[in-house]
Amino acid sequence: MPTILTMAAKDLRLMSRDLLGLFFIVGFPIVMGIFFGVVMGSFDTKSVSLGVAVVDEDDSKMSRKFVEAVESTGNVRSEKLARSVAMDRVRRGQLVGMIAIPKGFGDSAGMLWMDAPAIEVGIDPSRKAEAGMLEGMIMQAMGKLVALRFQDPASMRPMIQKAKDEVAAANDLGMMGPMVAQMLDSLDTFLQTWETVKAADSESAGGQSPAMPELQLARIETLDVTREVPKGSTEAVLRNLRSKWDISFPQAMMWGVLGCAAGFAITIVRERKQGTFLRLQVAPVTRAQIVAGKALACFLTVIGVITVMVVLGMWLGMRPRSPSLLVIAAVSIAFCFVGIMILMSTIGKTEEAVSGGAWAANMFMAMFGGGMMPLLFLPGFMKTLSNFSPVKWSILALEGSIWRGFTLADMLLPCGILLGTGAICLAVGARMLARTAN
Amino acid sequence: MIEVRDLRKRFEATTAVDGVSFDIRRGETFGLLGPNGAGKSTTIGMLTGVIAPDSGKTRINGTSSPTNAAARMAIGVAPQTLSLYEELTAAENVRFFARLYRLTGSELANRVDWALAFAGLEDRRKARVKTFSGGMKRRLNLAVALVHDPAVVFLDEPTAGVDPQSRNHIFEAIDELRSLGRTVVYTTHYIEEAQRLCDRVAIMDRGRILDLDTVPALVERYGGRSVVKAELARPPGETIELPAELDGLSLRFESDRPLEEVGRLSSAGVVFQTLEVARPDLETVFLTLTGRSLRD
Repeated sequence: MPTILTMAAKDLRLMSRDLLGLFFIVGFPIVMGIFFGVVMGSFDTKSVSLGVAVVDEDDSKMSRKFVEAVESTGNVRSEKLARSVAMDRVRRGQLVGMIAIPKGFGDSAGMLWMDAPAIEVGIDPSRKAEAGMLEGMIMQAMGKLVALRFQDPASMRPMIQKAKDEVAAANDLGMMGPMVAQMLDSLDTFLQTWETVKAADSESAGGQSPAMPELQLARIETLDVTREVPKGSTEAVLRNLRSKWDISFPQAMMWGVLGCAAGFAITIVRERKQGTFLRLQVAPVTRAQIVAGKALACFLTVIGVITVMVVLGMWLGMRPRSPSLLVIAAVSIAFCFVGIMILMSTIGKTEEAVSGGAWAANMFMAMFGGGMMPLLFLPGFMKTLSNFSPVKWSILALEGSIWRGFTLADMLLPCGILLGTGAICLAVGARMLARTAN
Repeated sequence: MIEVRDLRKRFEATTAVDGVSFDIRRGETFGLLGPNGAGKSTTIGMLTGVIAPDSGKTRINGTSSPTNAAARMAIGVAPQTLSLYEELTAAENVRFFARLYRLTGSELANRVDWALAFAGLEDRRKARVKTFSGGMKRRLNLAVALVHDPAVVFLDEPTAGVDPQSRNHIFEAIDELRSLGRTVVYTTHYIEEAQRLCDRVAIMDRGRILDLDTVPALVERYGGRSVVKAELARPPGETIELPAELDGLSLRFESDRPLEEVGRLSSAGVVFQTLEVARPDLETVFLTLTGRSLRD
């Protein structure tokens, strides 16, 4: 065992000094995982928000409350801009639309009995759907302002008095005059009562003012009408996704693993070419120990790559459902690709031949195994062919532990195939290696 | 120390080694001299267990199988190709191979220091091998072969492609090994090296050993007489008896005692403008044995 550890330590040290090789094993998968994660995340409709310019020319307490209310819907991302800049950016397509709040907005906003305040809305005509959404959100925000007004009765009462005076002075209201005057009287009485209650409650609550119940035009209760999808269908599987990194990171991990397999396969033929294999042959080291040293170094590197990617993924927001199953997946993948690495090393007699052959095999395995396009989106015949690629079973094992919610029983198939493939490749590769060494 | 009996090896249609037999004594520096392709490296390969012979027997340090761990512990090999990890430092290379020979702790550290000092590379121990000159790599190649203090050292063309300074360093290193009582098997196609370093030399060509003995014995057996070539300053007197006929003012003759003959001519009044005495050497031996020069 010390001999195997010595051999493995030497290979790991050599690998750590090969910066280009290291990039393909660790750097490239990280770049790939993040890139495709970001691309996939951009398709997430749940996170869509409308980019809107806000031109607040009133700059009053109510106008600011209005902007807050619009943003609180969670579907709008506002930018406070000057009118000309806002129009320019909407015209350039950088923002969906603009909301301009003219001067005087705060005087009548939220007052049901006064003329509705003007709000100017400009929307890119090509985005009618978003225009409808934005108008709905503006109306929702205006409703909140009405509720806000009722929370401050002291500020409301002078305005009601002013309205009552205007009604009394008006001669053209006819039958409506007394009715409106009566309604304003009732409202004033209500606000006076509310103000008294509020003052008393505030005193007893140690200065804490009680809140007016939020104005609700309707009580909306949510019904679960989630569309049923066939069990096992792509859509059903995708519902298990918990972050945008769930698909991209297992894929990226496999590129790191493929890099390890090719990299270590090349080191075996390099040992032959640079003569160090000859020196190993004359040392008191068996051929099995030489192969085991390489295998251990490759195994540890694969585990290291997967660990680095998992830690990075978790830092970004990926949350593996089952860490223990992830360990089983990682060990199975590492064993499988150690065997493949040994077999790859026998492809040719020169570094160029092994490198070319190993990467050709890698591309083939990745292409049909979901390393380039996620397995879920592969066409039917490709899905059938993917059964012959270890990359497919590796990704399935990783995804099973990260987001598909596999049980131990579910993991048996992919991990069993990986371990079996690894064992066969290891046996055949070691035999071929022994033959070529003689 | 080493017994070789009727060793044979073919690579497809080519016979690389054809019935080679010899013995090497303990503490002896034994040379295998021959041109490229003579079968020297294949013979070394079979002795060290890297190449399986088609037939024949070898015995090293009392062990019949060179692949046996005990036999491997007893031998050190400096292959013709530089067998080093270019991305590792000199010390890391030596330490790695020393560990394979089960050296640990202070013994490991001491032997690594000794090997680097032996190769004259103490001050470059932390430098990566890829930054070394060809000569430095050769010396390190030798140091790695010696780090575990083997009883038998196989040096396969150890001076191939090195500068004169490194060559001298390697010669001194081999002299030191000799003084330490190590058995050295040395392959070369350089006559000067075989003559300078080896106690006995086996002349190899086309997979066979043509003869084997000490250098003086081989020269005596196959070297023939010394050749004297001279340009005379002026025609000699008619009374002087010349060993050969003059060609103009050029004189060429063979003699068992060339210096005595030159002395006699000089005393008789022959004035030499140039004088060259070519004593027989291994080159002459090889020429006699094979009909062609080693440098062909």
